[in-house]
Amino acid sequence: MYYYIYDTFLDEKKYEKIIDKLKTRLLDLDIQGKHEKLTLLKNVEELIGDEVKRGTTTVVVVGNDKTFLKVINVVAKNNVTLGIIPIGEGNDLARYLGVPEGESACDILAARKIIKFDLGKINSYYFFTNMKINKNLPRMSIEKDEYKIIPGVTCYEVEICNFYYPRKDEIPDKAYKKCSVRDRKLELFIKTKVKAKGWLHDKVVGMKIDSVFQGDKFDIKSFEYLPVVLDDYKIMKTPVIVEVEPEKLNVIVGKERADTII
Amino acid sequence: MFKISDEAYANGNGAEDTIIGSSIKVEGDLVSSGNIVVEGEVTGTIKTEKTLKVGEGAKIVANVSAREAYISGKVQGNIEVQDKIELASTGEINGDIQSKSLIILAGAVFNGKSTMADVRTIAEPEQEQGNAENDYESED
Repeated sequence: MYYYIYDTFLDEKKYEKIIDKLKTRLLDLDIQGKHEKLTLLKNVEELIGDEVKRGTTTVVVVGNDKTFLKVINVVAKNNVTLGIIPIGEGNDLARYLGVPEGESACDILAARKIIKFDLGKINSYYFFTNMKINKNLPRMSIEKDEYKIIPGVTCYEVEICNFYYPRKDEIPDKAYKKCSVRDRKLELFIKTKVKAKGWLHDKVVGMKIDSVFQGDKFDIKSFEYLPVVLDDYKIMKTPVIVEVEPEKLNVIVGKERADTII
Repeated sequence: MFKISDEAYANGNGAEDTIIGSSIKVEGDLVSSGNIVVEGEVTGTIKTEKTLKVGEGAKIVANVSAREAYISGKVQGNIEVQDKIELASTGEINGDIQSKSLIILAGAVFNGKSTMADVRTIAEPEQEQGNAENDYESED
């Protein structure tokens, strides 16, 4: 049984026609199910949890990358299959999953090609892309196997990556080539600031990857609580244990899918 | 001298490659199945089945074991290399070296003892000798 979840931004009038077409196409392909619109008052995790209890086996998010990333944790915990129908802006992730925008995504759903992806797990919360810390880095340490990594004062951001995809107009660092969503590993990147000479002071114009570690478990500790941002939306606090959960997420993908950036 | 090359990034799905940049410090036993590039500080031990590159600004206080090593920074500790070790003009080693071949460029600093032999055979000379004697006896 399919459960379709529509993101809040799809309430806008400009999306009405697309959604109508979409529903007709789903009917034609005989992959109908329950349709639910998200609102600010509805908790997506509770909604999916309840539907899984009622027998849902496939959750399809209708929206963009953010919608997809928000449901990762609850979908992984309930061991159901996840699909996406990309609509609107910010669908770079869907492109890497090989899912085209709008109506054509229904054909991908109907074909039901399922791939198992690794997920990152931070304490007991799952994430798909990355987790970042960018405050007071010299006050933390990262333990891996039998050694400890201590960031210096020039460190700007710590990122642990499961899957990387470049957002629109973003030029990826070559180190991201190491990130694969099916290699049973996580990549730890430590970044420093790139500065350019300004009139009075040096300006920060970007970041560059300074250090790279690969592994299946990282233990992050700090002298104070530091905010950890997961998949660019969920915030947790240190101390955290970050590990990879191999083949945890079932996703419906298209033929043009890529595990890593090209 | 040794910059982080494209090669270090190229092997996306292979062994675990490690790049220790100049902004961090590593303490403990660093064991890796892939290449290790050190531009920062390491204290403890380093073991890799592949290549170790120590950059110009790097500072290592550790015993090192690798297949190949290219040293442009400072290393304080014993180094055991299966194949080749290359000490660049900016490199400094304070410790003993055990390797198959050794290249030291002018300007480099090396304080220690060097043993030029195949590291894999150093550990078992008696056994080999024993085998040779047995062979001789069996020919009789």
